[in-house]
Amino acid sequence: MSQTILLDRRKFLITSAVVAGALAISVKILTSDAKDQESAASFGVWLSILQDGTPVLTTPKIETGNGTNSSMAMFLCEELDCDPSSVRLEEADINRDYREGKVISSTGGYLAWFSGRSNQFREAVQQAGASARERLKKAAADRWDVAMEDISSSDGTMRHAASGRSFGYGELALAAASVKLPEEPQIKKAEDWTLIGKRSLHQLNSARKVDGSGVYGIDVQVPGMLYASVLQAPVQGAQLRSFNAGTVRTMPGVKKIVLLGPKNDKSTPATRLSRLRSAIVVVADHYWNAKRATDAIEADWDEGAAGAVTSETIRARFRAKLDEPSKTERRLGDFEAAMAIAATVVEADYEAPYQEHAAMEPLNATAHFQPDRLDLWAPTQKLDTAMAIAVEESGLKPEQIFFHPVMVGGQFGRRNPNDETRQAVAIAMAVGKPVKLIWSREEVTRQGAYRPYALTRFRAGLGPDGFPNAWFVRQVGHSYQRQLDPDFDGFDVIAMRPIATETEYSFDNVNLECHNMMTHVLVNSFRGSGATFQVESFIDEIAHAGGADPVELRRWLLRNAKDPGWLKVLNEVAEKSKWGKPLPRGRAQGIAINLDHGTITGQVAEVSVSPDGKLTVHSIDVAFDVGTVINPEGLRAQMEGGILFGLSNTLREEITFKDGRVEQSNFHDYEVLRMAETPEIRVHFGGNTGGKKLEPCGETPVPPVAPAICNAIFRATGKRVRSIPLKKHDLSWS
Amino acid sequence: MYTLQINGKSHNVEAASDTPLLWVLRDHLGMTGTKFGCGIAQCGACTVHVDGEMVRACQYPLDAVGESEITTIEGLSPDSAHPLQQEWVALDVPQCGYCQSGMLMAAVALLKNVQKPTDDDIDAHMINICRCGTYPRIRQAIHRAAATLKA
Repeated sequence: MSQTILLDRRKFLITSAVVAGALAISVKILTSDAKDQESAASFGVWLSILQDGTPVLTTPKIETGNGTNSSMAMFLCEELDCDPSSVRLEEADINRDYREGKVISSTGGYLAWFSGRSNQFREAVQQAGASARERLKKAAADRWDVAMEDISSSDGTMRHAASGRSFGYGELALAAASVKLPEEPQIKKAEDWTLIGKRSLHQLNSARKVDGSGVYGIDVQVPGMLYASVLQAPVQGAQLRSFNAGTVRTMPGVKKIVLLGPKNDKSTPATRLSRLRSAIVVVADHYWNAKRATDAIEADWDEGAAGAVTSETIRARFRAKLDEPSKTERRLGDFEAAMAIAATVVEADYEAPYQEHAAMEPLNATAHFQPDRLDLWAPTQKLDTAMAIAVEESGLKPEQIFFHPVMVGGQFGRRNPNDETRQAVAIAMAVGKPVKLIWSREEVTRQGAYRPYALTRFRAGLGPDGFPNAWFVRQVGHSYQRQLDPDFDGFDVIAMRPIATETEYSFDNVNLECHNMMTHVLVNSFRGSGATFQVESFIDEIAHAGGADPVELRRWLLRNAKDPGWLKVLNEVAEKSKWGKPLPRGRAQGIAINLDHGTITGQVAEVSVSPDGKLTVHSIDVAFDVGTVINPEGLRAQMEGGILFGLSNTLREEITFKDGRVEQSNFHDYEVLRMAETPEIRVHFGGNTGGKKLEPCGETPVPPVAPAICNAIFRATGKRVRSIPLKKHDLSWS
Repeated sequence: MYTLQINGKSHNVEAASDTPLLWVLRDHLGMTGTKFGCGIAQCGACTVHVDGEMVRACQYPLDAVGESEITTIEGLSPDSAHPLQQEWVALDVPQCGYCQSGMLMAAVALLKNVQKPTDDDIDAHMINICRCGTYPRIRQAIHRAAATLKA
């Protein structure tokens, strides 16, 4: 084993060793934390070159289908000089993280998405590739007794041009492990990259997704395993009084009934969203038997006041607050004075619904509890939260808890709370055998942690030139943060985006207010959530009222923007969509732009509405600024997928309540987008500003879809849509 | 005891007669390529073929199978050689991938009945749900595979 500390600004500790006959390189990011220094012998990023030449990269990133792994393979191979499609990605063992003092999570944490913003993490991956490459090169130089400078590396091979000799990396792997370099190589500067952003890499694990061999969480099979089905209180927060236990217990295959509830709540503020809801769990020999017995439950629940809640009562409660000033506010200039002299005043109220993530793999988790050990197979998007919950619920130490990697069938934010993981642990502890818990689609739909409901009031004062100089927003929104902290009284990180953050629209006089609300259900992160629909629709209203072109108005609003990406994206999407082109009556374009998770995205939707109100979305043009693109085809796929997710949200998705219960249950009444309504999507790369920014692109295409479509509907029909989904609206015109 | 013909092999199954084929495949036989998505034949994640006809396995009871020949995603081709599987990989169709077993089985059924499907044919037949939004690539992959199969 040899160790080197690279003491440039990145402060990496690089270790090489022989592990299981392979060259192993670890790159650990050093911090000023003494404890981290001590554990530095272990790894943050771990690269092995096997004797067959296969590079195996181990990182704490979970691949959920968004291309994270492909991006990392490209970072590695930019330096390692081999085919990125030959890289095998492995998920780091979170158990080891605890045994060895956060050795993995200190490089960026267990996140399902890869953020290029974590430059340090990207550089650690690149450093692993560079340090491995130079050791392989030195091993070849020693073998041939030539100078390292005369050896070139490409395509997983070291070549000596003068003699025509070559070695595959695999042949050099063992010798390279004992190489001592006088100093570690520097990684390439971004301007010298030849792979990242220059070529597209196919997704690394498609093969197992087209032959049925991929093992998702729901597919796990553990010897001796039982199956669990759950019925949670149909009114969220209600408590079980009684049920027909005698009947259920005697149903075929039933082994045990487990009652869960908040009485023994072990959650902490950080894991509050995972707290156990009152539930009846049926454990059986097969899932179908568990499900059938669950369907036979007749239960009496203490519903409390929540049992009378309807969507109308929620709306009325929020609506009343909309008229109340809030002390949670931010002011700039003198809004009242500016309004007093405004040439034109524009006002409108908007509404955004609760929506369900509806990932295709229903929530599930498999657990096996033994007195000194807990094994878990959890398709989560946040493994560190899952670990914390497993510790709380089982009472074991993290070192005794083992998460086994599984594939994840969609997340969209719903696999952050890990409530199903907590249930699985509780059930496994009650049963004493391995148990696979599967939520029915009805449970998934009704027991959601939804996209936050919000009412948003806007007022704008326009000058004689038609441009706004006074801007007022008061939002009454279901607060994600209030759920975690009853004393929270700021601008909610989810609901108030992009009203209070992530915008560079410039108004001289501003008054922003919010009321943080809660209801009997939970809300949570949701792909592309926030108030972009409301904000970007109202901007369109201002344009109309002031006689300005919507693109021109946005250019003016962005006149002070520090980030040049805004205008570049706006101009790119306007140009490529042929903004303003003549269209027949009933057919029109609409535009919207936003910033989400670091990436600006602009979209132009082209729609037509028939006189009897039938909407067709023909196309969506999209431009964006991620900075520097990593994997062009992967990015295109995320833009397509994000836009279709947003379109689905816009057309029909809404969770509503009656008698405290969610009225929707499955895909027949919670309708999501299908093939036939998929428009043409045109992805334009000209908005990127390049440079050191490498931002993620999974969330940002979602928010502009709704306002772009609704703004197009207005121009096509004269009807302004101030709430979604569109299924609620009569769009007919004459 | 039921004897099922699945992907060219016989399997004995001991299960209640109303057990959906989906759960027979997944829990009794360990063939987990066929996915559970909704349980009410709405999403198509569980699509398999019974005597060459597309069915939603979550609504297809065990006692309806009889002597029929069942084909699942695992039996579509020996080594992912089916043109649809190849196009699925070449075009990076899957994202999370969970719905794709059902999508592929639906697409195979489509191409069996319509050699060169139009966009309208694809819209009418491919009603499975994908939440990641892979529909544009699925459409393209079907067109390309149709061209390969015809050639």
